[in-house]
Amino acid sequence: MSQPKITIDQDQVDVLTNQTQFGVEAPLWEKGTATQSASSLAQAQATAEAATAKAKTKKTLPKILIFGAAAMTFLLVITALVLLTKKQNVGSSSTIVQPSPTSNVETQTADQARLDELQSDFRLADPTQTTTPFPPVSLSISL
Amino acid sequence: MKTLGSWLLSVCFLSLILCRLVVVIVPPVYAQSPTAQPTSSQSTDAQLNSLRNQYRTQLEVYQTDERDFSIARDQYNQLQTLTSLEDAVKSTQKVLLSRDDVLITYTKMMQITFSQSTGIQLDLKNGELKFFDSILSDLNKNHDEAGLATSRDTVEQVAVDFSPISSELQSAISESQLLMSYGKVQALFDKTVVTRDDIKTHVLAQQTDALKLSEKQRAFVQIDDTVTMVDSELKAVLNSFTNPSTYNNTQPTENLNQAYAGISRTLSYLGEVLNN
Repeated sequence: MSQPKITIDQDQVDVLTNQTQFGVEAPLWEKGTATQSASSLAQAQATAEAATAKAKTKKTLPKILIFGAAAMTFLLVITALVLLTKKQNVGSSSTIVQPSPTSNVETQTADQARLDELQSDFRLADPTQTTTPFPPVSLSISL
Repeated sequence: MKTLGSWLLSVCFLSLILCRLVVVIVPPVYAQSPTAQPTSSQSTDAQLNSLRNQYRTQLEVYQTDERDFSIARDQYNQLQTLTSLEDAVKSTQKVLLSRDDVLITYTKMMQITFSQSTGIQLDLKNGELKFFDSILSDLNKNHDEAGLATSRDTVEQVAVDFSPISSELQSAISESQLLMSYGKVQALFDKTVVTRDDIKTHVLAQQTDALKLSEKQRAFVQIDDTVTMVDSELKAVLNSFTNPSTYNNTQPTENLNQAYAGISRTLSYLGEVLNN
């Protein structure tokens, strides 16, 4: 393995080692670096600000989204509950209003239910029972 | 700006949720709903409850006064002194007053209960309510007399004056109780007749077997006979109110009990026809 041979001309060596020229050009080099560093600092600051703003937006946006989603879910649940309750009410009222069974078994069940209701009414209508008996007072008080 | 936007959004959501909660939690009040305004039956019930409480208290007071009166009377009968006579007169006056209090409250309770009862003809009802008014007036007058009676003679006079009032009161109470029972039995009978008609239609329409059909028809003939009997018994009770001179005191009660027993039989027959 042989390494490639680097050959430098004498002129090139002169240019590179010319300290006088370097001494003249050195401040220029320094100025350029300062200007460059100032502009890069400004750029960095702008980038940092943009990043912070982005991060803030990123942080705020999910919060709003989560809150909105939660609120919407809550509203949906409440609406569903209300609708279910209304449906149940409508269902129960319709069963009371429309007792028209079609089959024989249903008719018999309905008739039996009416008979049962009459039996309970019958117990309440007993003429021997009174809710307000005459007060236990003597009607013949005399000295 | 973004923070302000998020706040506005939050406020909007919160207000929406609050509105929804208000709609769900607060029940709607309809014009004819019972909560819209207290009905007359509610106020009557409250009045009746208040009278019941008053009646209980007055009855306890009367029982104490009656015990004191018995002791004072016995002492006067034994001792025959002026002091014992004074005590006996005072305790008699006291017990007469507390008895009137009890009877006045009881009559008011009966009047309200009777006015609330259903199934009674309006003219009969109004006549009975007027009778109650007249009795209440007599009882109040007797109460005022007893309040002024301080001597033995005046106390005795109050007791004598009470005698016709008590018989009127007893008659009014028994009549109103019979009328209320009649109203209940008549309402039950009306419902039974409607149910009988419906069951008859259903059972005879559903029966396909000829033998079974004739069996059911015979059963309904028996049920119809019982219903007719109940109807005539109830009419007899009603006649006793419109023409009281044609019946003795116990006849309407017997008629009503017969009608009640007839309804019991009808319901039992209907149950048999339905299940066999």
